Amino acid sequence: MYSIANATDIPVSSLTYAIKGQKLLERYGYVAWTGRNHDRVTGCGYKITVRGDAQKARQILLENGIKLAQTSSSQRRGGRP
Amino acid sequence: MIYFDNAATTFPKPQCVVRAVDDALLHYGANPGRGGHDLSMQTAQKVFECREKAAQLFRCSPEQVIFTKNCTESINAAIKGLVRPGDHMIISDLEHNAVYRVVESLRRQGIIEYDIAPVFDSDEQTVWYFEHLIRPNTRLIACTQGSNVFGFRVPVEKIGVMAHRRGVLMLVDAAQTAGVVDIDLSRRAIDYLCMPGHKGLYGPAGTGILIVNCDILPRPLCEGGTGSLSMEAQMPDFLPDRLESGTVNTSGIIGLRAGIDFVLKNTPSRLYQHEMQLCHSLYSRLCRMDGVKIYSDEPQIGKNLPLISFNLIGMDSEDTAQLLNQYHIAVRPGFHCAALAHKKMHTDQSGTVRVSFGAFNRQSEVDDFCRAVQGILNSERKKRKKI
Repeated sequence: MYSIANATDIPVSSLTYAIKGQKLLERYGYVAWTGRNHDRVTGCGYKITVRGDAQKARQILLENGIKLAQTSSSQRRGGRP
Repeated sequence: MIYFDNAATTFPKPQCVVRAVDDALLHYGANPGRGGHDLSMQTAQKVFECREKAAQLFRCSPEQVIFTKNCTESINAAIKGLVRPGDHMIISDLEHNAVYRVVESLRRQGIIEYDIAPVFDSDEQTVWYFEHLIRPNTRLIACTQGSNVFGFRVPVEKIGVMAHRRGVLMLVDAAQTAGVVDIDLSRRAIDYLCMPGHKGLYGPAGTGILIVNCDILPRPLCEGGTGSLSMEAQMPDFLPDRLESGTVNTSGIIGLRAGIDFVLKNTPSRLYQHEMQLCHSLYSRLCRMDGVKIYSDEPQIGKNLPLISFNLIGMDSEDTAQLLNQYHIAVRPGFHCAALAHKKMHTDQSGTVRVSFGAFNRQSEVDDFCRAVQGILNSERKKRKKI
């Protein structure tokens, strides 16, 4: 998870899970949106961005079967960001 | 025109479907699941809504819903993605070629063996036969939920319960039942549910669905871009991406979403009751006509689908359909891509004329149809007298 200001990105394994997760979090009162997540190792993907308690949001997603993506920040390739 | 060929594809489509496809082509033209720009994300939301609607109708999760181009592709994807060399399969004697040709092709390639189980009036007898054919290497039972030719229903849930008890996977061909019969996947009797989008779900042609309802995912038949894990050489191991490579039929899916919504609002139960009422009316009137041979059972709720197969005695089914066409009535003659079912009913020489109903058919159309059939019979009798 990468926190920027008040928003936190939660990478998920697919766009379907991203939209499903977004709707789920909205039902829990979160402000959430879906966006693209670029990972240099695994490639294209999607993320849910949430405002608020990201740890709890992550827990809600996992409890509801949303598959989160493995982040690969430790094994990023070279090149310009 | 009277359209009684709804088992091939439903027509007309509800106005909401027409509007949805129009809206898709005008406003949701981006590729869903590929880019991150607003239009792509808005289109993806619309596609996801279709998964949600299908999940609501069949009581499963949206990610279990895989979009295909038709029921045949769904069946191919599931069967060919599941069986392994040396496996055994069981199918019913009412199968459409979408199942029959697939297993026969796999058999000819030496990959599998299969048996054909007869379907009886008695559910218990049918289930007993399926169970009797199970071998230690039986991997999968693939079975239609209802004959596309004769309308006989098959107790697929009971077969599925038995299959699971014996460690066998259960695939159901819901080509004629999705949207008409209540199918509850939360009961876990069915592992793979295959259906067209363009029949009882009232979507556009070129849409189909495969629902994977267990942890055993078929190997992908088609591999390629999914918009996810794109630097990986292998297909993702999660649904729907694993089985959905390449750009989906966006406008078709958005239309299908509206079609499923139409079904949810009207409910499969009410649609079924309406069509069965028409079917029963037609059956009882055809029964009273001299010169009509009916192959379908008397329509009974829960036992049959809303369609009737018949022939006019002494006439080829193709000729009958041509004459009905002159009355502006659309029906389907011949063998209906169902060799096994026609062999079972000994109609493999003559074929049959099939009448199948949809949500928009009315009693007045049944009345007109019966007058047309009587007119054809009278005219044929006159011709014979002259000879």
